[in-house]
Amino acid sequence: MTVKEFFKGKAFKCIIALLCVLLISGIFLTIMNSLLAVTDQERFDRAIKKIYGKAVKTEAVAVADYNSNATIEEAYKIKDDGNYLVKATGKGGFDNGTVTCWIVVKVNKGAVGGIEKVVIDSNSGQSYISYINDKFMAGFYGDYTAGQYFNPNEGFIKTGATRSATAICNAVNAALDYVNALFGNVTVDIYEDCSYIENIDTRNTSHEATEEQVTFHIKTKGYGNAAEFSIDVTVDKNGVITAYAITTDGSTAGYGKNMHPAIKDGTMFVGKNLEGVLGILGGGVDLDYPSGSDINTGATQSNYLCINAAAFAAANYEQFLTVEETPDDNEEGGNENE
Amino acid sequence: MGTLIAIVLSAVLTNNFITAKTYGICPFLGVSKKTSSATGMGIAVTLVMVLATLVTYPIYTYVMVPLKIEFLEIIFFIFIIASLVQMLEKIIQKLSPSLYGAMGIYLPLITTNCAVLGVTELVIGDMSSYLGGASMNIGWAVLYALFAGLGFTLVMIIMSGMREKLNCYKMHKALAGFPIAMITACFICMAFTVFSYISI
Amino acid sequence: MNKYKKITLDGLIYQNPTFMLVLGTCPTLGLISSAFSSMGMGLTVLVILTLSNVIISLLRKLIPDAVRIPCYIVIIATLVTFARMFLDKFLPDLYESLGGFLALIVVNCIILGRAEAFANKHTVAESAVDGIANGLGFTVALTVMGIICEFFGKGSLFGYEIMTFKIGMLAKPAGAFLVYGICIAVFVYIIDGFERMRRVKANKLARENLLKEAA
Repeated sequence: MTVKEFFKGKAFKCIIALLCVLLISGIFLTIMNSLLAVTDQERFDRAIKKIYGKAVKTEAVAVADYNSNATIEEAYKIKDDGNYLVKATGKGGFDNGTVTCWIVVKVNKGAVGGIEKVVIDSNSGQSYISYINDKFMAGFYGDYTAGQYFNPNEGFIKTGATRSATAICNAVNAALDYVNALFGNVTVDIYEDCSYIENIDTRNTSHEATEEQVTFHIKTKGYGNAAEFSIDVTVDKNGVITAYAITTDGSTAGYGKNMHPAIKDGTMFVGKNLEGVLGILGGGVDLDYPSGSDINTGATQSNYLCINAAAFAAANYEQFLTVEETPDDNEEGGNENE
Repeated sequence: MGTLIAIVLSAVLTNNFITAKTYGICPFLGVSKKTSSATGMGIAVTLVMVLATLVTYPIYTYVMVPLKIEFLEIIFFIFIIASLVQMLEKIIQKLSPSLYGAMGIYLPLITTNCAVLGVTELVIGDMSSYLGGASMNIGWAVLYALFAGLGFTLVMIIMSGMREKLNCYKMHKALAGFPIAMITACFICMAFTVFSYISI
Repeated sequence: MNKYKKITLDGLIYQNPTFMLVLGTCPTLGLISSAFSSMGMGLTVLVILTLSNVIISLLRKLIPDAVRIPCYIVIIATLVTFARMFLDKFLPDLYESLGGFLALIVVNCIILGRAEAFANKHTVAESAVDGIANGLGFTVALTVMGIICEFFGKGSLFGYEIMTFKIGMLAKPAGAFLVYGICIAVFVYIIDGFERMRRVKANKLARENLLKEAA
């Protein structure tokens, strides 16, 4: 077959037809693509509209973190009504996962007036996240008093996704802290400089102190499969734990019965000081249990959180003891005791 | 290792192409009357899915994205799949006539099978829920395609087994054929729902 | 005019792509859990099918037979890409609810099937009517099943909640298979009934005529 024959042949015609169709399609689509391209701004507005329910004008605000339980990702001031839209990633979800939420913080007369809307953006590894429904979210809306924090165990319906709920509450609390800080109300974390706070939810921990002893109401963070524990620990002025009681058991899925009995009723810690507590784990607070240790009971993460709480109390009691009053102040102190 | 297990389990069981995504239903209903043909079709689809992903994923990430012509993805992908299927048909015909006899008749049908285009579109999209912490690359993409294809084959074989048994019964004209096949598929889907309790 | 009536009736009822030919099953099963998305998919296919039928009918003399399938695929893929851009720009809600199935319209057997079986043999007007009829048949079938699945599966219609009673299974692929299967059976049963009635009527007429002639 000569070249000339090829150009006259059927194959050539086929190739030309196919190429023409391809070329016209390509040109048409390229033109359409530049005409119909969706800009980043449009995409962003669309995302905001979805969260906010209506189209609004926004202005980006610099982000900062005031709360270690969550990270503020993005923040915007809504120009139309002065509210704030905050994207925050809350920690402490199931299996150390996180939940990222968009939170609309209502602003009322230059101060935080409450939460208007919480929308889940994404999550990592939260297999029960679909249990979080509008009824749960309704727990955020409504009356808000300044300085209030949300706690998944109070004022929310039970969803079955306790850990994801914790992460969402953490995100919302961080958003509140952030917007409060924008108005100059920085909440101070009094336990910030304490030691052994890796697994302590310092925001929700409190204490009562006298000259003789400090009683911590410790709230731990979740760890692995274990959820938050609430533990009351009393440390006397010599650093010895005199009382230890678990008020909320965070063990999940029936692991509570696997906890070491002496940890569960607190007898393992009573009478021990910091060194004694650290001695339980062979001299430190980490999960590297000495093999054969009798606290390898099958609820290691729960056991660990309880030990961490004891270590936190025993290590930090000193700075919270009420300073011994000088004789002048005695009267006042005495009154208080009455 | 965790990512590997997550991909295998989700591609084969929890997010099975047929029972969870409803991709590739045409061959699922059309070629599942006999176990032998269902197996042949399943393997042919798996083969094309793997090869198509092997070609389209690098082309998309290393050619189309840098050139900013992502919008042509559908044309490119369908063209690649169509030519791949044609080529495969010719190669199998030349190399192994017996294999061609077993599988060749299914190959032309595969071009218009959504499972193939579906997997190539899926792997260039957001796969973070399958990958956990790992980032997407060609290896994961091909692995996902392979196991999605095997999951497809698995359901095809189950379905064909049930239909072979169903053929022994006489039923009303309105119910025979597609309707009863769909209701059978409904039961398979329901059984596969159990796997959604697997969390990785 | 009778010709167009036949094309329309074929597309809508006697060769309804969803119930009688069982084509385009993937998007059907994947999207009928919501009436909005199934209707959106139906209308998108309607537009693409009509356009592709018209274009292919226009080009039927120009495209050589040997490369016609690749050419059809390119034309359909172009239309689908265009539909994707259009929806992303102007109807983002629908774009999101269709998800991956939007791109899969390319391999929807209805479109390539109509191109191959009808558009490359008929005039532009006929092809356009055929596209609209088949598209409408597909849209109506999808919408009806979408309403059934959404009403019982989610207790809502087009996104508006109506009742709290719901059978969650019907909003999942398993329920989609079940509803689709039952709908085909009912449709075939009804069409069958009509056919039988028509046959009985025709037989009766024929008998009367025979009797008349005999008399």
